[in-house]
Amino acid sequence: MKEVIVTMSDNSVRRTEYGLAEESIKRLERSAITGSRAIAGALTRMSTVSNRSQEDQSALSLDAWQQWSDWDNGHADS
Amino acid sequence: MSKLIFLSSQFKVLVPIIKVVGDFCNLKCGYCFYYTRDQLTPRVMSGTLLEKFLREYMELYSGHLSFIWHGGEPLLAGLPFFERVVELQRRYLKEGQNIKNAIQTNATLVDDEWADFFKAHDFRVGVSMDGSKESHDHFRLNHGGGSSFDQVVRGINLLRQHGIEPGIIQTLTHDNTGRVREDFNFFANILGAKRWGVNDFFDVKAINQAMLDQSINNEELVSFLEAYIDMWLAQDDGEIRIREIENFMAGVLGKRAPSCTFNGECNRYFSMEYDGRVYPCDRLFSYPELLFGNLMSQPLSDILNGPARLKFVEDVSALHPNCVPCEWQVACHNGCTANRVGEIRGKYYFCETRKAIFGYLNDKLKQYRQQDEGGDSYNVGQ
Repeated sequence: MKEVIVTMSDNSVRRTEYGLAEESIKRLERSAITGSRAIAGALTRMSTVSNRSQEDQSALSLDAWQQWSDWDNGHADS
Repeated sequence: MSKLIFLSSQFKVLVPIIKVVGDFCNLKCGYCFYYTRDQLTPRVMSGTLLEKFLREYMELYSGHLSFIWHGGEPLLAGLPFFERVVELQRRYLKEGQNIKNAIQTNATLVDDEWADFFKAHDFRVGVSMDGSKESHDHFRLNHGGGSSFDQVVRGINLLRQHGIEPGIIQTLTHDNTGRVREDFNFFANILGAKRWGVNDFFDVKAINQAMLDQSINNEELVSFLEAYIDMWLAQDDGEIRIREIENFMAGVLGKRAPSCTFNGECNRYFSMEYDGRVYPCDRLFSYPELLFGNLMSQPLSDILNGPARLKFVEDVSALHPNCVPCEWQVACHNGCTANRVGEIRGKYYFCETRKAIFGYLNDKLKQYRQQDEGGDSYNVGQ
């Protein structure tokens, strides 16, 4: 089942993205399967970032924006 | 005219990568894409140019602004340079703007003063480090050919003493693909890194002839990334963030990837040299045709709205024919522009790696779903 992002109202898109992620994360965190916590951590981080283009990153909360782009300084290392 | 409107939109903030000292560096890393240039002559962006840049940039955009300070080794610009940066940012700050500064350093020059400054002004610090001493010192040497490993570790420890946890950028060459397990273990369990990224070394224009045999190929990169994914899962630490894994995972889950090399927003950056020359990216300085303009003689808005940049935006956004039928098209966007073969519109050299790893991670996540009792509610690709 592939997540489908279609053009809907913002609210319905966000509900689709975040609702499923939250449910998954809770279950993964409780799981005894090795690797579940790593996946849960990644899902948690993704759930705080808009699924849409960076064009609207400026509309993010300050906290979400701070988290979003702190990897971007790795451009010219090689 | 419509292009001018999109540029000035508050939502389309372009992120600058500022090479404050040009190629000037206290290290001479074998794989550096400035290796064949003069890295010894001191160069620092002038105060006049710095102020012109910050004044015009901060006038142009609203909202959240990110500045990426780069080199060469940016700390060679000296602490007063960066004190001036934050002073000018404060002076030109408009209502509604937020500022975040990030700096990429080799960490060898970090001392208490620098660490204090970064902490006081909330700089995000990225440190270039290739792994264990054996991996790191293979290429990351000083100009005399001496090791830099101990100095880097010292710099990281100083940052941590001041409450700064740096991100790490590891460069992957043919040499260290053979030490993938050792290097992962070093980062995760010895250095205690919580987030790092991997830059693949691939000299697409064959500029550094002495290093051609160190460019990695698809087979090596696939093997490396599969091993990293396995080790990341086995480590099972929810706080460890490996940039590449998160990018691939985002693609598999239908989420927007964080990195420009995956999310197709390469044109959202621009890079400025210490002398005012503006290019699309610091990885593309070897393409003279991609020179957007020079801030010494032109307004920034003219440069970013100029024909060279608009052509670049068009070229970089063009869909490669091979991407049309690809199921991972929107997760990959034909990879990093600097690693496209032949031209900006060319095919991404690591296309096959991307397909293989999206598939590998997809299978892994499916296995987790199957093992998980209620497991059909987190979305994994087919």
